[in-house]
Amino acid sequence: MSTRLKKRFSPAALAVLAALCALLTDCSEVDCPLNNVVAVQYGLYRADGTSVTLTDRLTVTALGTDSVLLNQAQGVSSFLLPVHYTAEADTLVLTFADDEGDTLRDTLVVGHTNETHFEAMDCPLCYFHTLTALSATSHALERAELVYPQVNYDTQENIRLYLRDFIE
Amino acid sequence: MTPRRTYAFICAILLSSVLAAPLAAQRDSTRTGRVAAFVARLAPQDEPLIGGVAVGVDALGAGLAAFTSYGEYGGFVRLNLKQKFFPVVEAGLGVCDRTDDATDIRLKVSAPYLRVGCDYNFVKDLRSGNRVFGGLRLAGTSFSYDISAPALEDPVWHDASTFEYKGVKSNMLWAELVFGIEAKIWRGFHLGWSARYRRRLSQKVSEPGQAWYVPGFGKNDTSAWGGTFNLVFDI
Repeated sequence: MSTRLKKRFSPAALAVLAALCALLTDCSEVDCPLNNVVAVQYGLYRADGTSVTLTDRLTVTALGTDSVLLNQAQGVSSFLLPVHYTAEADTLVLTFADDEGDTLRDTLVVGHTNETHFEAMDCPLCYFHTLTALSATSHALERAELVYPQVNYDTQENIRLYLRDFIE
Repeated sequence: MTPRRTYAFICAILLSSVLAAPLAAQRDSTRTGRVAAFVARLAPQDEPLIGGVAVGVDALGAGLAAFTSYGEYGGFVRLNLKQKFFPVVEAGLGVCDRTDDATDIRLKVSAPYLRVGCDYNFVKDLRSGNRVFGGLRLAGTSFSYDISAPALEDPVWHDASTFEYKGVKSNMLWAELVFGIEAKIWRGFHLGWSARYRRRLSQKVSEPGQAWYVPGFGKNDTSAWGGTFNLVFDI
């Protein structure tokens, strides 16, 4: 350290200045998610709790829209379905079809809240949901179970669908 | 060095430079004796206790508030104790009216803030009128904001929902580590700047989420830095 510098400032001042310069590495950043749509993750199980990979075909539609949410899915053990932004419950129709063309249909009613998720000004808005209720008919389904109610950017299984033994 | 470790390092330097003397004197003196020893160690005896009062304004914050989407109209009153210690009260109005280019989300805030603290002048030549400050602030604000966005359309059911919140209440308490330089320009007029490292102590986050801008704190993101450019008048 030069004598001239020492005369004008105390060593403590120079130490503080040096430390503040080091702190300049702390900079601003925004981490927006790539996809601003969340979905409910469903898992397929047998009654004993073992996971099922579906050989039959599963199609899911919803009341209130013409959109097919899942079209003839085969070889899946889990799938994602969207949640209505403004309704308090979604009514889903699950159609199981085997190779002979026989079909079984169940209706699943999923109650949920809708919370606007604001991350930052720079990030697009999205909706998060909390699943509040679940009911299902039992033609192909043995039962349905809500296992994780929060629907957000976490990829967690939310609902377990237990299939009857004759659904393959 | 991580920001957390660097922050701890700076705190240690400041605390040790200010508190080392009184801590040494604590063992064998009364409280009055400790304060006297503290002042004798850090402030010259030939300077009067009250060296004057100064007022100032932050031109940088005002410029940002006037010409960009957010900033602060702020000023301060500062006491001069023996040319070494400068207790200060800073107050102002933080304003923000910003619409994001990409998301069209609009935020409006206008609320006061307050900071109190003390600076220490590191310059040895006290008569020069030039100062190099290190200091701390405790700051806070209680504010409400409006936030809105274009209607969000459901990609499956195709109905739209509005996003508009008015008068969302929030507050924040934070600390600032200050480093500043001030030069005497003419008689009692000084110009100076300060760099500030800010650390949130507490924050109320309301339903739509964390406020993007906080009056007095600035942009409420991962950046912890701020600054001022001060016009100071001795009165």
